[in-house]
Amino acid sequence: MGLIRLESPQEPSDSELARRIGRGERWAEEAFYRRHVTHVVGLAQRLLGNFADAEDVAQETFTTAFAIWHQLRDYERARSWLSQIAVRKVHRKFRKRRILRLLGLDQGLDDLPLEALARDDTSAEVRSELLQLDAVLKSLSAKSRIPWMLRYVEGLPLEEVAAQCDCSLATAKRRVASAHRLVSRQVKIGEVSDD
Amino acid sequence: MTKLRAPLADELAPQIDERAIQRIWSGVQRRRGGSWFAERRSGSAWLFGLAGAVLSCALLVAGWHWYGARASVPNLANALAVGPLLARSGGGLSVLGGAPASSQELSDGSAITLDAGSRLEVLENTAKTFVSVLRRGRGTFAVRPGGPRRWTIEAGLATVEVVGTRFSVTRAPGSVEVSVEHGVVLVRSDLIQDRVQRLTAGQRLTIHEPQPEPLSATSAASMAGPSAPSLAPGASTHSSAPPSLSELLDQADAHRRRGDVRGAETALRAALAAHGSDPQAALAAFTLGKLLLDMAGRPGDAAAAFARCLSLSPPSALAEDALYRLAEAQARAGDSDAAAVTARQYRARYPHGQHERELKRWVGED
Repeated sequence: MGLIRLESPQEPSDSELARRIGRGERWAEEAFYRRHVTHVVGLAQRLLGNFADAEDVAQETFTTAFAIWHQLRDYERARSWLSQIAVRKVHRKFRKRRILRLLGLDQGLDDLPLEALARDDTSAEVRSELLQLDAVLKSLSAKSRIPWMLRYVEGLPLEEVAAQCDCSLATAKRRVASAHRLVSRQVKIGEVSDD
Repeated sequence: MTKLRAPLADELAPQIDERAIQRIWSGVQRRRGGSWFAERRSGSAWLFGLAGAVLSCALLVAGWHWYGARASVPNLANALAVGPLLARSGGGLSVLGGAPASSQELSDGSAITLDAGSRLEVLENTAKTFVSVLRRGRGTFAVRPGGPRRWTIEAGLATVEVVGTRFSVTRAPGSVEVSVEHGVVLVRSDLIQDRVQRLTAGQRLTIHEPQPEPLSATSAASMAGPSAPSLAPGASTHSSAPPSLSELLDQADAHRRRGDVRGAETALRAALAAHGSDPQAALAAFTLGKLLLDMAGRPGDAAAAFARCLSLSPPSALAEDALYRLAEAQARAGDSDAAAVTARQYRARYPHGQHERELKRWVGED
């Protein structure tokens, strides 16, 4: 047998991977995971502000996704579907925190404020604004905070925010608007373009 | 005040490194192979878990007293046994069967009865799993209900999974029959609809190896490519463009779903011949290898297909599976030296590879 060449891999498309996962091919699961894990972890870190919780959410998200893969109807939308699962897990994490807080077991020590996630080249002024934003967001309930963050941090259209929060478009709009009123008092933030 | 620009995610960078990626992936793997509790412990279910744990402790204490009150509890040690299954007469299990009919009672109360001339090899035997392959003949399995092990019986064309029941598997050249007396089994095979069938008491399933179908005019024409073999007369004058790699892969899938192994093989070979330089050709080669190894029982040809896959620069996750399956195919083809060389390559490239355990089995290191 000649030498085995493994360099310069040509990655298959998302829908091809999704199709292969549907057929039970394990390599495709890992390839899909590697392609999207940074996105899922990043989303969870931004929404939760906690390193360990974000890892938990990522782990649970992929576990659930592979377990219910047959429910994925549109392979082209695999990434969006994955985000939806992740957001549900984030909601659960917030619910769990609330119960722990009621029992006096949650110290509320989040170690990843938005400022800590800022890119290296972010200016000191922006970092300071992010710190302020973080403080406002902490005062919001998860029901308002998550839709607002999906809209203004992730930049999702309102329809997508509604889908990811499992609520109607009207509810999503109301929650985003009410959170935005509170945020705007402390921090100036530009509107999101849906283009 | 500086105005922040939405979406803010553009200004932020996830905090993740390769170690975290590995750690999360290991967690995913563990949870997928783990227990119901591991899967459900997320979310608010932990509260129910806590309540359950308290209740379990109370029941355990009550149960302990109940057991203590009994004069004798036969086989309690066996019922709670951990570690591999053993023959009740003593000794381990590796190969069962032979010329005369035989029956083997196991340490957990299960039993395996083999007809004359049958052969059953044990591939994996742990506290949680018992995997065996019925090489030939007929085996009747009485699996102790509620036991801790998941039993899997490989029988060539099909895989039978069971938790506790009594059933028989008959493997003959070109066919496998599964018949259930009590309980429920799952039969998995590429040759049945949706690849899985649930059988309950009194049900029987026979799977036949598909016979090669003659190529239809359509399919023969669709194989037309630079070096497509055995074109139908006149196909070369076909004026339409040759099928794309994706179309050929779809054709192969359709053949495979119908149980037409030969048709699937022809489509995949045509794909490799016509689109050998396509980035996705490695997928076609890998699929061909799987087909030849898992469905056609041709490990030598499968090894060549996996080697071809590896030579086509597959994506990294596919490369690991292909290298492992190459070793498996070589071992199953009887080329143990080549399998050992491939296993060394695998370990050098993937020191913490996900197939290490199975690899040991195939290269005889268990």
